[in-house]
Amino acid sequence: MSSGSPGGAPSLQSGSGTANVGEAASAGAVSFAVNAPTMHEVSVSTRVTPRGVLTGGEYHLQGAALNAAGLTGWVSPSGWSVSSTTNTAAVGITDYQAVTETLSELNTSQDDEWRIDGDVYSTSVQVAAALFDKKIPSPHVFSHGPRSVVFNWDEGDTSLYLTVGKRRVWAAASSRSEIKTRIELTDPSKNMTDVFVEALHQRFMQNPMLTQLPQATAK
Amino acid sequence: MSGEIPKQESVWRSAVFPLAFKVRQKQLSPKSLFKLHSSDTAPFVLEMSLARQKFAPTMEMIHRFGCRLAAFQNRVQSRNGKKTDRIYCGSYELRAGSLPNLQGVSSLAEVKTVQVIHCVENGEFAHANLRIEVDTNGDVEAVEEVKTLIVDQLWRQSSGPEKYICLRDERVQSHPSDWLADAPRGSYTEQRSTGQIALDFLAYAVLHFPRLWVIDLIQRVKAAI
Repeated sequence: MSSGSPGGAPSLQSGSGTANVGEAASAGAVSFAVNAPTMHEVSVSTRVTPRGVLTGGEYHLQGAALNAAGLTGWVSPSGWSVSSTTNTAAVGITDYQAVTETLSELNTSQDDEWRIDGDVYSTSVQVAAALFDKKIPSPHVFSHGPRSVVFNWDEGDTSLYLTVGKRRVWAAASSRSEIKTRIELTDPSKNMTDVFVEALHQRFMQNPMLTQLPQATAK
Repeated sequence: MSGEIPKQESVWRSAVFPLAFKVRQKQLSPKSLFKLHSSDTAPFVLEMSLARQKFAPTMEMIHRFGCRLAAFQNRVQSRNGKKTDRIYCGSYELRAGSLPNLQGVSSLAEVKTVQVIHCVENGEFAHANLRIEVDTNGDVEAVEEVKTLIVDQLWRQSSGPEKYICLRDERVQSHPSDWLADAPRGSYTEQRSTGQIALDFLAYAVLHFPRLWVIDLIQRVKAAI
């Protein structure tokens, strides 16, 4: 297993070389590495360097965003073949490289409306790594400003969002008629992550749409 | 000089895009353009600038509003020593009457009030504000998730885009207006007859513009004193 460049920007590394994914203002806070034995098989590990808000027990993704693996199969665009039993998937590495490059550019942007804070960037890269690890098709990205980044998948009438804040992650699914689901994945008191993720995982393996999710949880 | 906009009116969201992100268009969602602003001093008040069609009754006027908005934002960026690469790409239409419905969306109980207010800003007589108050029990960070769901609803209620290239941007290669995705409600359909648009334009030119101009002048004088 290879690792990201120490003290540098996040990077995707493969057996055939390293592809830097951009310099970050908070360089070195988070990195993840990808070991690609072949062109079409990838595995991933996350590594958090001892720096920034993600350290010192202040922040724990635990089984939350990392378990967003349950989202596997939500969409099945061409070029992806998702397997529920093996840790392999077709390509996707360049898509996620582009996602992390986008996150990096949002972080270093001079544009105050589009720039995201270093802490948000660090968390979002880690979540992206987790999504990649579980072979989730790469998301679209948008931000509300410095305090959050949103990963977004749309298919037909249904949208799925992961809102990534400085130290928290929320999942939501909506359709034209309703908001189907809202969950704070990093909320330890509700401890709904595993239930939610398992429900997602099972439903998605049967049906890529979000029509059978648990009912929305009113806050 | 402000007041709630009648429900039957259209308002438009200008799509202003920083050219620096052009190479990232594949990854960026067009929902990026529906930005809800909240300040550190008022984190539970979310605002979004819009153009009120009544005071920009033709599509050309809506687009010129957007071009001036991008130019204004670039001037602000310049004053702050930052890149001046924001480009107006077009606009999405929203019905003023559909926006207060955000209050009634199940599972979005944090939304307390929704107002679409005509509010002249920087000399723009068509400027309006979508103003949303949310209550997350004092949890500032949780506002970000609420923003996501509001943007989702706004996007679903929008139609368009009406794409446009400002005169000053004609030389931009691969203009980012191509990036604007179709809104969920489909293309904008003009509900007004040609005669109605002509009347709206006349009313704006003869009645609204002079009135707004005088009120704006009085406010500027008062501010100067």
